[in-house]
Formats: sequence, C-alpha cells, structure tokens
Amino acid sequence: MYKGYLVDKTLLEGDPHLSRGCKSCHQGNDGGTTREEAHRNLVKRPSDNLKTCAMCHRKIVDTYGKSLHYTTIGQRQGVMRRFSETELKAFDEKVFQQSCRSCHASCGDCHVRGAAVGGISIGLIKGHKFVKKDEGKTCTFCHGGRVYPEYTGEYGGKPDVHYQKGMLCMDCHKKSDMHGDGNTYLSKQEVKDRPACTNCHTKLGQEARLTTRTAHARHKGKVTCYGCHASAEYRNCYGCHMGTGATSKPGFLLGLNPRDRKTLTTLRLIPTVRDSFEKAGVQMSNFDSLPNYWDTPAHNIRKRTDRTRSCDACHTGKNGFLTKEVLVEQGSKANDGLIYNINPIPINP
Amino acid sequence: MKTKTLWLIGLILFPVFLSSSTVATDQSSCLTCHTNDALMKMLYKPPATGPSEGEG
Repeated sequence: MYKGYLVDKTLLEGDPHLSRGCKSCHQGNDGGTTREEAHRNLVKRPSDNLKTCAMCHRKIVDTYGKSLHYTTIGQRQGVMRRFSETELKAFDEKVFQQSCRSCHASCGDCHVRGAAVGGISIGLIKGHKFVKKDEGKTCTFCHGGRVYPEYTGEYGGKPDVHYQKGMLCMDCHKKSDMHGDGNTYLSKQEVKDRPACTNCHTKLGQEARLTTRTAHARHKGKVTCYGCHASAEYRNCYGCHMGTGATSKPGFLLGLNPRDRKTLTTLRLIPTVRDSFEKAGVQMSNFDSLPNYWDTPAHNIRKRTDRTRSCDACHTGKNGFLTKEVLVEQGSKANDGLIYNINPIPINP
Repeated sequence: MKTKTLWLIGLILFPVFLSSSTVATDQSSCLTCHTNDALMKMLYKPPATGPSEGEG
C-alpha cells in the first residue's frame, strides 16, 4: 500500500499541476528532516477546499459545489422524514456532519487519489497524475459495497451485460452527473437527464419478436426495466448501527416503488433500524413514516432472465415478490404498502 | 571600479542563486521520499481500520 504514495517522477516535467511545487497545495514543512516534521500542518486533501482547483477550473468548481457527490445531501434527504424537528437537528450535528458527510468526494478523490473508505485508500491513482477518469479505482471504492460488484458479477450471478460489452460507470453516468449542472438537487431522483435505459434503448415497440413487443407494451408504465431484466440477487444490508456497521446477505425483491406506490420494481433493503443512531443519542420518532425498502436500479441487467423467459415466473410463481413473511423484523409499518399482489394472467375464452 | 562592478554583478546574481536553490529544496524535500520506493516502504504506516463506511 505504500506504493499509493509514490509520485511518478516523469510527471514533474510536463504536468502543470505539479509545476508549482508540492507545498503550494499540500502545505506541510518542506524543511522537515523526519516524516513527522515534514508532515506538520500537512493538508492531505487540498481539493477539499474547492478554491484550490477553482484557480484554473472555475466553471467546473462552481457547479461541483452544488452537486450531490459534493453536498451528499441525498443521504440526509433519504432519512430526514424519520425525525422530529429536534431529532433532525441533533442528527445533523452528531451524525450527518460527522459521519455521512465524510463520504463527500473532493476533486482529488476522483482525479488524483482513490477515496478512503473506512480509513483505507489505494492512494494515488497513477503516481499523482491528474486522471480524467478511472472508475475501477474511484467509483468502485465508494460504491463497491453494492453496485460495482453486482455490475461486474463479482457478487455472484452473471455480470451485467453492459459490463460485458465494455461499458463502465461513466458511459451512463455522464460528466455532468458527476460535476453537477449548476442546480442544487436534494436527491438523485430529481437530477435532470439522469441515466435512463431509454436514453440508448429507443426502439421499444419495434422489437423483432412478437412476445417481446407484447411484453413491453403490456408492462409499460407498470413495471420498470429492472423488474424484468435484473438478473440475480443483489446485496441487502441489515441492522446498521453507528459504530458497528451492518450485516448483509443476497436477496431479490419485487415490490411497489415507494416513490409512486404504483410501479413494480426491484427493491433493496436499506439498513436503517429503529435504534440506528441511538449511540449518538438520536431517536427516530417518525420511523414508520418511511419504508425500509427503496427502489434500486439493480446493476445486473441481462436481456434474458427467468422473468423474460416465462410470464409464469411472476404471474403464477410470484418468484421474488415481497410478502409479509419476508419483511424485515421490527421493520417500518410503511413496508406493508410495498407488497404487490400479482394476479395470474386471465385466459380469454 | 572593477571591484565595484564585480560586487554589483554579485549582488544581482545572489538572489537568483538563492531562489533557484529554494526551488530545488522545495521539490527535493517532499520528493526525496515520495519518489523513492525503498524509503516509502520503510516509512509507510498502515492506517488503523474502523467500522466500514461508504454508500455502497
């Protein structure tokens, strides 16, 4: 891991970022003769202060300061309805700023050094080169608990077909998604022009097979793409408590999207439990106002799945459907509203 | 006159010499370690791990 702190000497000649000397961004004590002395007043993440990069990249920094990767406000937004006004204030002070907010990405976390997760980082991506993108060393570290290993097939099941075709994160999640578009969004669902299957798959209704055309037409607006094309179980996390984390196990769940209560989609268990923040002295008096399951864009897409092969997988077998029996114990009362009672396909005489 | 000229030239060149050595020091002190594989291996301290965090 020490190699993560080795600077590539060959960069010193040509990289304009390095021409100003290390101290210009990192401060520290360049007269120090020991590690401790040299690192006195060291700024480990200079781009945490956006002004550092704004010297040259003004336009990007202006939008990035409002982006979700920087503000991380989506995390707060997702949970805040569980709190009373007083509890929310305490949550903001003792939990969000101390813990959740630490997940915010600085410019360097994507362009210079892999983000630290749980104190561990791969260090410099490419010897302190300022890279445009390297998803395998950046996105994967923060999003490597769930999305990335599901996408590559490492979690089990087959890889996402898009991964097999050579597509990585930035092929769908564009630069404007990362850098922001100047608008302050409170959650990723609000983002204009966020990735959508239909951005590329535009020929719905023109498929060669009649069964495919029929299935798409019948389910349009009622079932998300993931509902049929998510191919395997994905990670669901249970029982998250401050200081101890959560446990996880694979699962596949179909239920009503809690955001509209009418579209059938893949759901993922979110590990917030009633006493998640008890260690910080924060209760959730409105815990039942939100469910424990949220719509998840499962990143393990295949063209052919059990559900696309046979209507019976859902309409008769009800495979993977959320039921009362599988609901998490001591979960939110709002979970019941996500159960969808699917009917068999009527046979017309 | 000759002596005065020499002093003047020396006075002009001295800050230039000083600034270039300052730059060299700035580049070399951090980079002395951070471009040296063996030194970095010797100096590296693994971080203490805590409970895992991350959006996942």
